[in-house]
Amino acid sequence: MSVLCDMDLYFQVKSFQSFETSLLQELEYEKWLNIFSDDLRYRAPLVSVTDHRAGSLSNSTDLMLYDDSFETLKLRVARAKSKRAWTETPPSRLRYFIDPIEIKEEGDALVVVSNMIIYQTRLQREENLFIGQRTDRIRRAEDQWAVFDRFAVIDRTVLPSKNLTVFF
Amino acid sequence: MEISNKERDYLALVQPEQGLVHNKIFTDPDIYQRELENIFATSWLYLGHESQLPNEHDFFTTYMGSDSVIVTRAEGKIRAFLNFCTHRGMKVSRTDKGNAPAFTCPYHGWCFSSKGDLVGVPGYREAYYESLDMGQWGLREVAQLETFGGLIFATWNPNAGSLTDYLGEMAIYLDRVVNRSEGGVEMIAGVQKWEIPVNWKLPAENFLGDSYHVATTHASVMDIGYRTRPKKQGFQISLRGGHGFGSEQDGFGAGKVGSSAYAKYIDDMRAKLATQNNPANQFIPMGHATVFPNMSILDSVKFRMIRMSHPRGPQLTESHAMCFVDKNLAPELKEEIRREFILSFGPSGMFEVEDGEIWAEVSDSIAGHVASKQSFNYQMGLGKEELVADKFGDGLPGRTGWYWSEVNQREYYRQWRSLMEKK
Repeated sequence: MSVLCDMDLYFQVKSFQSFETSLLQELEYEKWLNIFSDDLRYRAPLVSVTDHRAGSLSNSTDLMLYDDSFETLKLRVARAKSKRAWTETPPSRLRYFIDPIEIKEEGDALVVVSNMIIYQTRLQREENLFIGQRTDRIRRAEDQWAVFDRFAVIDRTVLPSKNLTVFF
Repeated sequence: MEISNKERDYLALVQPEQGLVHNKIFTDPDIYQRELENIFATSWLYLGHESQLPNEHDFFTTYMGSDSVIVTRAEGKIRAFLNFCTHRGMKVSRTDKGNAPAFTCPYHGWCFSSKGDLVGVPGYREAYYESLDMGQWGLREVAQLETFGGLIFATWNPNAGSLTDYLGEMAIYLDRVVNRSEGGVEMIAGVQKWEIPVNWKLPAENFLGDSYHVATTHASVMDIGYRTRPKKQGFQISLRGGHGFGSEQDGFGAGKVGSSAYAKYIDDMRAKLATQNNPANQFIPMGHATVFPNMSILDSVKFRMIRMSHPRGPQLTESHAMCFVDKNLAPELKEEIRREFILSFGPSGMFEVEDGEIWAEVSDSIAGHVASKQSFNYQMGLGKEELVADKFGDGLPGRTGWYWSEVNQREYYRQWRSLMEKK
């Protein structure tokens, strides 16, 4: 059952998300990695047009847009921050709008479902809008939350961007 | 160079003999329109793989040039049709894939079987007085459809030679991409799709013969150790019909970071195949390739990709990326390949993100007025080509240049020009 009505929990989740948003917007990707646990699974499926809603997302053994462990996510961050990564040289300007719509308990963990809008602009006039939904599984680690599973759906079937370089 | 809008002098625009290609061919709307007719409506085009249609009535939709097409399996046979109701042109399928014995047009309800036959027309008796010749108004079917190692190709051209003729000198090499393991290949489900604001030929020629860009465009991937720096030993191979491929010696290099079980599998396979008397086995994995006009392949020690650059306008390409594995591969190796592929290619891939970055900026720059009067330089290795047979032996077809050479692009644009010149 959704416990969005639990003010304290909602506030904790919201603060955690705001903390993450500020790191992403500042392109502080190395620090951002610290919000994840070592056993992370970080995925974004493909979306297909099918007759029924079920089956429109690619399965775990199918192609996806992202399917990373903590190690490979670290590699992506290292690349994005390296000197000759033209996709971030000059850097993008990013805004994240993350809004929780459901928070529920699952064993020791919390499942947080949020709508998301990511606005990316770079160079003179390039603009990309990635809109979708993010499902996080988070657990308490020492004195802060840690994400151990992130599943983000970008609602487009044909991505309108020349590449996908934003993290979500 | 001044170019009239009516009569284009393709000999002046495209001069592979001088290593010059005018950049107008990457922006001009009239040239683009002519390509749809002279290139895409005449050539054999890649549609997909048999493993996308395992069951009767399975279908998927894709593009042939700028046209939406439906590929079906009906009575066991693979067929392809224009996704276009013969009454008013509505798309009869609006999904990417599915299973359907029939397609009913949402406009007036004409119904077509998975064989393409018109099998139902609302008002056939009262409105058409039973005089509509249903046999004449089935879905428009491609002129020819053939498969090669499970790869499905089709053409709108009834006069085109066979697929084998079309692939020509490429066939012996392409065979080593899809038929090197018993049972052949299968596609990992799912097609990555994204739009790049660039003419379709730039991605196609990049995969065709551009080993040169790797060290600079993809420098970041080497800086983090995911890929070794190019060994500067390798080759480009150019084939009649505009096809071609190229690779670093012994396959594109994996770095020290990341998984290497598949690289070992490839090594073992090469050792095993050495006993076979097939000179094309020395080109496993193939490297980067393009089958004219817009089907590209990347066959590395990490994964195998087929990649379509569908034309969506003079300066817009819809990329479709698909990942292939040997059918008989252990599940854990398939899983490794799937994840390595997603990490390195496709819209978010650590390599591929940079290609999109560059192509879109090239596209923007050549839209400038003065820039639009310039030619691109394809002079690398001009006059230094050798016969593949002389260099790699055993009567292998094609001409070859060094690892960094634009021999493949020159032949590709020669082929492009010969088709564009045709009335």
